[in-house]
Amino acid sequence: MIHERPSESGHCWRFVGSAWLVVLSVSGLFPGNGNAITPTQAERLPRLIEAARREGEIDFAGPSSLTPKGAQALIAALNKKNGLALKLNYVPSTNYPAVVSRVITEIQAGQAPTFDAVYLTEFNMAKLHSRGFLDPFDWRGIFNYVTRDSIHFDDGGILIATIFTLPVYNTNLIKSQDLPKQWEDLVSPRWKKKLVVAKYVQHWVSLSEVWGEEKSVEFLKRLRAQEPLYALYPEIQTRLASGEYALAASQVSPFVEVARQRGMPIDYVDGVTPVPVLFDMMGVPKRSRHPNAARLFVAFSLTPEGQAVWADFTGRSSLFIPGTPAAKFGRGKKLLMRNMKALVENPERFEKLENKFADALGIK
Amino acid sequence: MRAGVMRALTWRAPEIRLRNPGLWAIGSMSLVASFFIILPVLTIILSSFRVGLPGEFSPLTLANYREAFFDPFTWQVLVNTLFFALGTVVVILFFAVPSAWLIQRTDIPLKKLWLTLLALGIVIPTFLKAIAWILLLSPQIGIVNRLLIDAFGLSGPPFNIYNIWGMSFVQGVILTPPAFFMIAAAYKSMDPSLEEASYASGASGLVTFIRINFPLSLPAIIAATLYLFITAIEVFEVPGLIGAPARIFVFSTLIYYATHPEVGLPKYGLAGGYGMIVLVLALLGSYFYYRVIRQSHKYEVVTGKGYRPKLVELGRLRGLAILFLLIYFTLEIFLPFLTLVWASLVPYIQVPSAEAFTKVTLANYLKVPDYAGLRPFLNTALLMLIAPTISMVFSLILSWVVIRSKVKGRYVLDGVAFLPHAVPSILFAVALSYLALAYREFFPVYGTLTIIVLANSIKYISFGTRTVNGALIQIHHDLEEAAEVSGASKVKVLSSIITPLLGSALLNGWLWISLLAFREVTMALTLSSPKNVMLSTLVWNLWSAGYVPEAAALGVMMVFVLGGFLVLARKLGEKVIGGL
Repeated sequence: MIHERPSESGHCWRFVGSAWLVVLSVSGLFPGNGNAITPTQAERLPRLIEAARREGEIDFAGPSSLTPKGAQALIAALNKKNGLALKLNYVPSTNYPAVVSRVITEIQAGQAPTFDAVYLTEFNMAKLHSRGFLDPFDWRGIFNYVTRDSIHFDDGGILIATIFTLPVYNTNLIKSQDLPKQWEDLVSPRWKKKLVVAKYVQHWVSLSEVWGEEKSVEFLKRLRAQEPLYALYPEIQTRLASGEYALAASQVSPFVEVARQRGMPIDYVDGVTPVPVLFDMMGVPKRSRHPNAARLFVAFSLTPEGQAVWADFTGRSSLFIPGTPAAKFGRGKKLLMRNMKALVENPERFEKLENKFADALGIK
Repeated sequence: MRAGVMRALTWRAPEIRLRNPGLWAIGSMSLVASFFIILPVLTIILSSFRVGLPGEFSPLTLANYREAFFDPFTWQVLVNTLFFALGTVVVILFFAVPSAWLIQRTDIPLKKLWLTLLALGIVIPTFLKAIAWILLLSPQIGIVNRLLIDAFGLSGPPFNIYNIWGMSFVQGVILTPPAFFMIAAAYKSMDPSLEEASYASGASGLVTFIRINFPLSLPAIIAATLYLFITAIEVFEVPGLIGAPARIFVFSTLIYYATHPEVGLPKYGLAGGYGMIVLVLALLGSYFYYRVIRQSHKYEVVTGKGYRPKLVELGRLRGLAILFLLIYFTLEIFLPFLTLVWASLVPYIQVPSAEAFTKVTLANYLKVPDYAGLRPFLNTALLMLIAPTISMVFSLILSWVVIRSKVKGRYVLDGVAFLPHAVPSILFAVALSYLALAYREFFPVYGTLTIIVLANSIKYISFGTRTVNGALIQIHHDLEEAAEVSGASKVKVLSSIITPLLGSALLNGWLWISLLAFREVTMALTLSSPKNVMLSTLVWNLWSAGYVPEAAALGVMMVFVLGGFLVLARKLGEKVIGGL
């Protein structure tokens, strides 16, 4: 599926979301105007801001590359825009599944989750969604800049950044004419024992939509036979920049962007297609202690100001928002989008594929 | 000497009955400590019989054990783990035993410097040391390999760090200081009359070391060996950074990946299953340990008479001894620290070269305040003060009951004290976290600094009790008997006789636990919340995000701050108990 637009689905949850708004109206958080007319966008935003002001803070699990400084830059920009003095308590996530597991455990124990807002990949967000642990919200009813492209998981997840995945190389060690021309070239004997391979399979799952399952498994087995060094994304950056390895089978765009900012001799292997695009999302878990402040924070991340901070500190931005680095990067490229409809409808299928591919690659 | 040994051999421990309030207090505290240790361990055992996430309903099942035991990969991992742990212990003993003897029992100069360096090594985060060793010994970019290839015209790199022996070497060098401090207390308090008798019989320094010092310090050496064998089974960073990328797995990496998967959700039950294998290995080790300490009275060397060890004169061997220590500190501190400094001065990790030197900058240091803030410093300082204090108080009580009393089941108590060390930190933290969550209303510590303090206090009771056991074994009962004859109660004996005599070991233990707590990252990460961020997790997060130079800059700053803390602690120790 090339560049398929993620679609909306899950009427049931939308109903729950609407019902939930009704409950809020009754509770006084979004007081109705007394004549049963839905409040307008202009009326609801000030109420949300006021509710956020009363909550005062947000506990947020975000990517570790945001850093405390980036987190403070985000909240400062949000406060400035809305005339607030919210405090952002940021906890860097070093492992998204561990964050998901924690939120699930806390909610199942009948407790408020530690985090009011979470930043996760779409696969991990799907695990919260499939258990009904994401709080849906009428984003477009309040924030007119939030487009349909950015709303997923039945209004429970907001797409904050689109992550491009490509092979990368050390520009000091490999000449451009010697670079792989297509994904399949990575399994050439030339790169035996000279490759770094990421310990993730989400992008291989995307490619399997084009290649088919059988070819994907075969490819990953051959990649494993290359006797690569397995590493997480940050480590790939270190191994490549130090010159220990010259080529990585895949790297995600945020790390390449940061590498460029720092002057590291790392660049994409250009021309390899299609380019799998993964979705990084934010959501507000159920039972959150500061839901209104969290929603305001999530929505702010989609504003041009919010996107600029995310791009500056983490190299992440969304191609669905005009003018962002991601939008510029994606222009003219053959992109392979995540099939969100399929993920929402059948997350188990993706989980099975993940496990199968991890097994074939030897990282399970 | 023979008379002393005979007296020791025929001595019988006095019976302690819990008849007075003081002893009841000691008994109660032992039970409290046991409760806090046993509860998380039971939670882990229970979790190994369940699938799914903590708190999710699941019937009891053997599925995790089936998955673990019927997979041939597990047995390969067991072999890897044993080789890695054995190799690590060999490296540790090679460096720690001679170092402890040289520094505590000989007239080697610059003792304070060596002691400070030994403690200082721990403040350099292990994962940064591992990276340093990759930069030094990687077949592709290793500086040492490059130098040797150039110097001798070799066709390929002579060293490859990516194997079990490379991992063992790095881990052994890193774990030598704790072994040193566990063994050093024994050497420091050794009765000089035994050595003097040896010298009077015409034995040389080396012969005296082999025949007198080494056997007398054997319980401490065995205790340290077993303790660090278990540590080597449990540590993650070196196997994770050097072994796992090359697909050399040990149990710690399996447990880590089961709880921090990149695909799917954490499998705590499977991790618990692996944890049980580690636990069995550890309990096996502790069985041998108890057999040694049951014979402990043979090794009592601190009596009420003439306790003041005399130092051995090294003479012409002094230069060789200094060279030995210098080689060790070069491997443990200088090379990794230089690499750390280098990493902190460049925009990204790279091998030193003329071009790289043009990129040297202090920018990473200037960024540190932005990344850190004040809270992690405050949290870490509180952790470093409170956790070792709690740990050492309970360690003293537990060790005293185990070594000095005849209370039935006292060795079980020592086994309980050893348990936290036998259980992998990640699983221990997961269990504590779940218990804190489940009983949040009765014991509101979930997500607080208190739970990290509690986790560290419990975790290092095993280290505290090993340290105190080793030292307590060597204090002869004469002293207690004399005090009791003078009418002192058991509690008075513990507080006025035993504690001051153990001053050096207690302070060493306190200081070491403080530093271990400072460096501990896996439990702190598992228990982290917005309100309990620690410096160790901050450095780890910077590293995880790929901000290696910033992590290195923070690491260098921490080395200097903690260096000052160590010097201060040592000066305080000298004033209060006459030195460490």
